[in-house]
Amino acid sequence: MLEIPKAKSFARLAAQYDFSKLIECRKYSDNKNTEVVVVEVDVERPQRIRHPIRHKEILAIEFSRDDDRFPEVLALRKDFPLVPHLNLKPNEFPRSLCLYSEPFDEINLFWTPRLFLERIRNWLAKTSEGSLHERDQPLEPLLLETVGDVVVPPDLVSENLSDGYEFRDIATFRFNGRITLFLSPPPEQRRGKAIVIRLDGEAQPHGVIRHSPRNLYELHEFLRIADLDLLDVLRRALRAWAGDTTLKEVRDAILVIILMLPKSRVAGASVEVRDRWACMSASSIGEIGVSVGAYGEHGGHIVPLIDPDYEKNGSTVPIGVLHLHEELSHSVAAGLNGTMPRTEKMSLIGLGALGSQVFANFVRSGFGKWYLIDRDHMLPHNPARHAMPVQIGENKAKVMAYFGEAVIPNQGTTEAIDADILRPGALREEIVGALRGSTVVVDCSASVAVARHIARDLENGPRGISIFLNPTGADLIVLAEPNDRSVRLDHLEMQYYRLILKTPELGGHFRHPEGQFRYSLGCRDISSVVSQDLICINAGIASRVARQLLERENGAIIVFSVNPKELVVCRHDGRVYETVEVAIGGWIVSIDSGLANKILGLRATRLPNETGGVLLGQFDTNRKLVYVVDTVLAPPDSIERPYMFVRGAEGLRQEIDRVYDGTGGALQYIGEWHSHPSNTRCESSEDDRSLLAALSRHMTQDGHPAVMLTACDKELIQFSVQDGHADAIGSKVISFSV
Amino acid sequence: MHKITFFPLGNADSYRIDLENGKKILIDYGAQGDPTDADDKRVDLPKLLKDDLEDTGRDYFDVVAFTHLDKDHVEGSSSFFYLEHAEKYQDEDRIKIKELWVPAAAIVEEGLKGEARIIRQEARHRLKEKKGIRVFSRPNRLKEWLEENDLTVGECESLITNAGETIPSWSLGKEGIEFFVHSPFSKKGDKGEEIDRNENSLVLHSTFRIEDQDTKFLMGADTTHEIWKEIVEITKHNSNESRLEWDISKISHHCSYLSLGPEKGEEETEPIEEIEWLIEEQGEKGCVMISTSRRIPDDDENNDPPHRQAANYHKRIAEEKDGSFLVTMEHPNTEKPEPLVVEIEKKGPKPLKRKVGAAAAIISRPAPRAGD
Repeated sequence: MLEIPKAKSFARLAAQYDFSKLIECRKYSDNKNTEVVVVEVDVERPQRIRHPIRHKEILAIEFSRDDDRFPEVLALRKDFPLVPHLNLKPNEFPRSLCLYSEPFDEINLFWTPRLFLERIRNWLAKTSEGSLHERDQPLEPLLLETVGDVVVPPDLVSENLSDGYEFRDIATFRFNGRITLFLSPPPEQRRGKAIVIRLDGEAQPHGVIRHSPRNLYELHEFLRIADLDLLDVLRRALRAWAGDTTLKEVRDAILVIILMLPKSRVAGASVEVRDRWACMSASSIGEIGVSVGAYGEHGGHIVPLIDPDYEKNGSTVPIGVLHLHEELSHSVAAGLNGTMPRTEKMSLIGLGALGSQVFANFVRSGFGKWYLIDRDHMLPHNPARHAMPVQIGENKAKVMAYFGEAVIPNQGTTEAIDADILRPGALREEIVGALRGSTVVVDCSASVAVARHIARDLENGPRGISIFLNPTGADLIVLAEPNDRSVRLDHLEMQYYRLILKTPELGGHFRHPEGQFRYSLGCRDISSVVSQDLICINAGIASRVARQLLERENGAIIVFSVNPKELVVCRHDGRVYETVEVAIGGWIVSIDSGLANKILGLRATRLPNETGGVLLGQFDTNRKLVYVVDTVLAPPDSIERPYMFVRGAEGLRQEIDRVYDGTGGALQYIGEWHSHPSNTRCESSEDDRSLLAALSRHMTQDGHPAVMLTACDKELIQFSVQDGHADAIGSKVISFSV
Repeated sequence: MHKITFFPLGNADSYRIDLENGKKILIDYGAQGDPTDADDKRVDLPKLLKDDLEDTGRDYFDVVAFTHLDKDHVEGSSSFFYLEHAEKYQDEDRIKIKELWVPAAAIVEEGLKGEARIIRQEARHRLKEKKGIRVFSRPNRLKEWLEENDLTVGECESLITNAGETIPSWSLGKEGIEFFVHSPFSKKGDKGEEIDRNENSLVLHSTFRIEDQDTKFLMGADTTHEIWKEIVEITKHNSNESRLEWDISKISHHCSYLSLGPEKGEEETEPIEEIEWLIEEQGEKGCVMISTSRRIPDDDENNDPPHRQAANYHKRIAEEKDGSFLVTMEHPNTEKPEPLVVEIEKKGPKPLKRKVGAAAAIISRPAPRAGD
């Protein structure tokens, strides 16, 4: 009587199932923990087969009382073929079928005797046709048992070693009985403690797993199928080294053999992957030399033999097989992320909460080699929202450089510059060099001043991308200059304000977490209550969208808005308009084609009357810039005639306040505009001149110039600027094609 | 992929060939099962055929072939098919036949009764109309009948295929299948005259092609060893041996020993020399042998086929050839036989051994009545 529940249920099914026959049940007299059910199963196979599986096969299934592993399925036919997906066992027969690639505990949740039986039948059917290994499955390894892992820099596996061998320093760690060996390049002026040789084998079909070799001779035999003669290679190399003065140095070194064994899906097909292994021995090079007959012992000394002793075959040198792992590289990291690796230099400014996390995403996906620029230092509150919560007191750029090096080592992944980009002091040249050597500068500083510096102050600077959050941290703003930098970050910023104003869903964009408005340009200051969840979400969006944007030439203005309750992200794209700057009266006045065309359009719709309104925008009094960004249309009490326009005031205050509040104080009143009828030129009339003078008297009190725009023809606008302080006045005409 | 479906009908024949191009060919229609009898394990043939046609949006077969007009090959056909010769067989839900294939006997034989007679009338009607019919015969054999019906051999020749020929308009290139006719055949008498074998049923050999791989199907009817002997001799005489090579064989006459040799044998029937050659030399490795019959008995009580001695011979050969021997009424079990499907792909024939899951089985039919 069977007792193990799975054995019982399986035997019961096998006895009455259509495509199986119960042959017998067995128990071991000395092993109460295992019960065996022997069945014959029908295989659904075609006439022409790849592997000789018969229409009926007899199998023994061993069930374990502990029920902690798959029942073992053994093929009892004496000549059952050697096929892929067999379990490696000490004895070749009976062959043991490897049915599952998933862990036992996962399969056990759904185990039924029928599913198990059908799995066995399916294994046999697919194996007969040679289709058990689906085309998209990874190929099976050539060897199974390993004693540990070895971690090597990419150069050891990607290039041919000079002279076929290289000295390396080794570091060994032992975790839970497994060895982890690190092979790093030796310091200058010193030979390493290990000699690494690499052997590249011929391609062979995958599928038949073999025992791992236990000594040099078994390794030699194993490598013969890959067309390699290990003993010959070793004897030549060892005797060559002995002829060198380095024998003394190499004699005590450890030998590490890296094996590159290409695999194809079937014999003769193209190579899909390379199995990479390393073999090491505790024996020294000297001992190995004696063991393979390259060296002999003479008077207590090891000396090279002129004619190798072919009787000696290395069987006395035990070896262990190690899994070989390449240190993470840009290409592997990108491959794991499903992205394209980028290894050119890039700069990132501001390694705070958002910047550190955006950078972490970049470096983890093999994207870029980085200059990190920040002057800030880690404080105890930072780890709440920083990517690298260690080393309080250390510079944030340096902390993130450690991070970058830890992710992709030895590749020059990151360089930290501990400086304030606005006041770099002695590091000015270094920063300028870093920026000019970069293909992009990612500004995560949350500072308008830094963005404006990048946009305007650096000659031959790289393309800029600004990434920042709104005060609640729920909205992410990404401003990207086009590749030709024809629209700079400062102009993108102005157009971003206009996007906020015209998008009703972004009405609360500048609202502060406490519910108050912050009347300052420093609206990006987020050292307040913002959830790490939101920063993390937005850092993920930011790094991804930045990568996408850098694939394209165009500029971009994008606001991503996370609804913090439903966690839905909405995306709002603003159009990037080209901008024109003109120098008038000591100031540089700029306008983009979006606003210009809007004003020219308004002029056309009111013809033959004149029309007008107020101009909204921003002054940069330091650089003497006037950004003309938006307009408020003629209030209802305005007077529009073919020869005159008087701008009214009804509701104007409220409208300007709405814009001011809606942009966090970024856009304010800066001047007036009106249109001229079609038959006049752009010349200013007497009225126009006295209007400008009147404006100037007011604006001068705030330290601002008076700005007047005249839409004077269907494609022409004229700017007039009067600066009361400097006693300067002037005007210029700009042409826009509608 | 082409497909052949053999229906478990006891000792009666019907199987359907579904070609990759969608065409459907039905060979014989021995609907002997009684669907109202719960103990009758034979399938409800008309229902299965109609369900399949419905699934593919058809109301016709491209070809229906009757190998001969014995009851176990035609039973129920007059209530299933749309017959053109009489209005009473033309209800709306009947299944149409684009082309009817019959051996010459189905035209010229007199004294037929019941269903056999109805099929003969249909065949005669179609031949008179000169469309939707193919008769397998030496053309001159039909001469007398044709003349009686005011027809000539010349005007009907394109509807007649003789043994040793392939059936026109079915080609490996176009349809992926070719049919070679082995029977009915005629023999030269002592004086060189043609002697027709009246009892000859239709024996075809078909070749299925998938890409560059051919699968050959020997389509035995109720063929006796005497007829097989003559077929083998004629085929060898004409150097057409390749037309007797096979990957799939429908075993003749429900696995009767008489299709192998004159003696049943103790445990295993010994085939005559020609049939030994046909089965053992001409059958390919990994072949599929199908007995359209009742389950193989354990004893010799019943003298009707199948005979266990004949089955033992076939089983042994299947084993030796790494092939399979399957019995329609035993597949997948004797309790509830199901249609036996052989898929034909590039890798050759593959008899399906599948079982639907419990849930799928339950929802495929109404649940038993619940409540009290």
